[in-house]
Amino acid sequence: MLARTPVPQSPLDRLFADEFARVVAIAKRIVGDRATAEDVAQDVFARFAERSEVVSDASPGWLHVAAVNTALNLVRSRSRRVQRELAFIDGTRPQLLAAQHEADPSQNVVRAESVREVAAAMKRLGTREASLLALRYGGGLTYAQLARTLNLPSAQIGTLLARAERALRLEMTRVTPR
Amino acid sequence: MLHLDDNRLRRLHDEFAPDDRAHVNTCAVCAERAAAIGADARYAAAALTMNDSVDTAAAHARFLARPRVIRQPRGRFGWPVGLAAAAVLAVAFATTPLGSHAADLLSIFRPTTLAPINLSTTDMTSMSKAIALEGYGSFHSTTKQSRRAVTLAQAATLTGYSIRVPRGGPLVPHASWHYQLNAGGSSTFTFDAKKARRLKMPVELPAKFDRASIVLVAHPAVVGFYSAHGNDGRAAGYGASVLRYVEMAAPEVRTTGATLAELESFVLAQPQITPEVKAQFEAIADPSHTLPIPVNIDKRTASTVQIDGVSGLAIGDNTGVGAGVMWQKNGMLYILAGQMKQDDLVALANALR
Repeated sequence: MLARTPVPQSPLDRLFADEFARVVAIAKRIVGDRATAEDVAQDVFARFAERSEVVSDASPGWLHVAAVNTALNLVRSRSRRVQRELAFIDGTRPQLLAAQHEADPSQNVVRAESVREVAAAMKRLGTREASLLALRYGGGLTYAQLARTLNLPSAQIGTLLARAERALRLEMTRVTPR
Repeated sequence: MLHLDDNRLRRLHDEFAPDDRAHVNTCAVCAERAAAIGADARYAAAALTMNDSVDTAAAHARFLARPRVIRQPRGRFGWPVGLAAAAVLAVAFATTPLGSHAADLLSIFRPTTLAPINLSTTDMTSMSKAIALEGYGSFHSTTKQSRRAVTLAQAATLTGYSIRVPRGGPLVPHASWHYQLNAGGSSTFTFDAKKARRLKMPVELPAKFDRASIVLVAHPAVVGFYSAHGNDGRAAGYGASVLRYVEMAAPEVRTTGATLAELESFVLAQPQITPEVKAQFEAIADPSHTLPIPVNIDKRTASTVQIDGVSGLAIGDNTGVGAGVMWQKNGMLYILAGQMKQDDLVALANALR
């Protein structure tokens, strides 16, 4: 997932090479399309470059949290501009996994959902729930990394992740009044 | 029989835990809960698994080509943590105390309060160009680029400041501070009418401005760095907080040959200054004692906060993970900024003693 630029020139360049794809992936779980997620990632890195002089061990965590918050701010905005940015783009549908077990009732439901619907559900989740899911499934963060990034007790990550996953499922399967 | 909590049942889905697995295999209650949690996890995984291919090289090229806010070159005034822009704005827009209108008098601007100037990204760029002033004269700096690590006691001895340290406040364990002393200095801009004419600058330089000068005096600054790395050797950076604290005597601006009020009018006449921005500067009630702080409203928010009994300025980052507060008291300028929520940062600032 993490492609690298050929010749990193500076610590910031190396950070970009190491983390850009991950930041995009995190944002994409929330905004729902690659183009907007890349815009979010560019914005996050630009802000990092403006505000920070030194690339440190803390930099990836900053980028990941900034990606989540920036993406959530974006999708929660009601501006027409944001609505355009959230417009579904062909070719960005998720490669939905087949559920592990045929008996799993989620299988058919999941297949019917688009990335846009996932993003819409993520938008309705609480910030912590959306953050956990985006960082876990977009960023591939471990339980320990989730705890450090979100300043949460490590012993609660499993519980909180389970609640977030439950909430996502409920959001995606509930009937939305029109 | 003790049942497993949700944390362990969820981890069972991802991690090898033979004891917990054995328990689930023999406990109907936990087996049912584990199945439900596992189903939710599989559903989430299916929904959130996407094609994540990204052309990082192309993105990097775009990143390098991004439009940037033009900043004053670091070191021109030698100020810490990005205050150079504010300093230049202070030079450009502060007005002289009433009565100091004789051209040969020394005008002194010594700010005691802060005021946000809300600028869009476009405004920031235009403003930077407008106040660059290079076409109207030349800079000369005596500011030393000296930065050296010091102890808290050394910083206090060398500067005469009573460096504040947090007494309580929202800091995590394993906190560590280290300090750096930035040397002060002065920078002088001298107007040159001949140069302005040669470069055909957009605003005609008033005759009295020729050889007039602006001197910015920046006092030494003590910069404290805070990191929250744990001592367990696993501090991979995730969630590690980074803060900076700056303490310095408030800067001073002096002019010869023209008053700061006249300089203000001159800079506000630059074509890059929009009427909206101009109006903000003109609305400052006490310009002779107010340091304008430019705030990029596309990326940040500014609000007034109470710190140590005085009115300060809080600037929030719309990423939600960074903020800064600055305040002035008894001739000193204080700045605290970093990866912390604004409310926590204000609480920490109030805990500095």
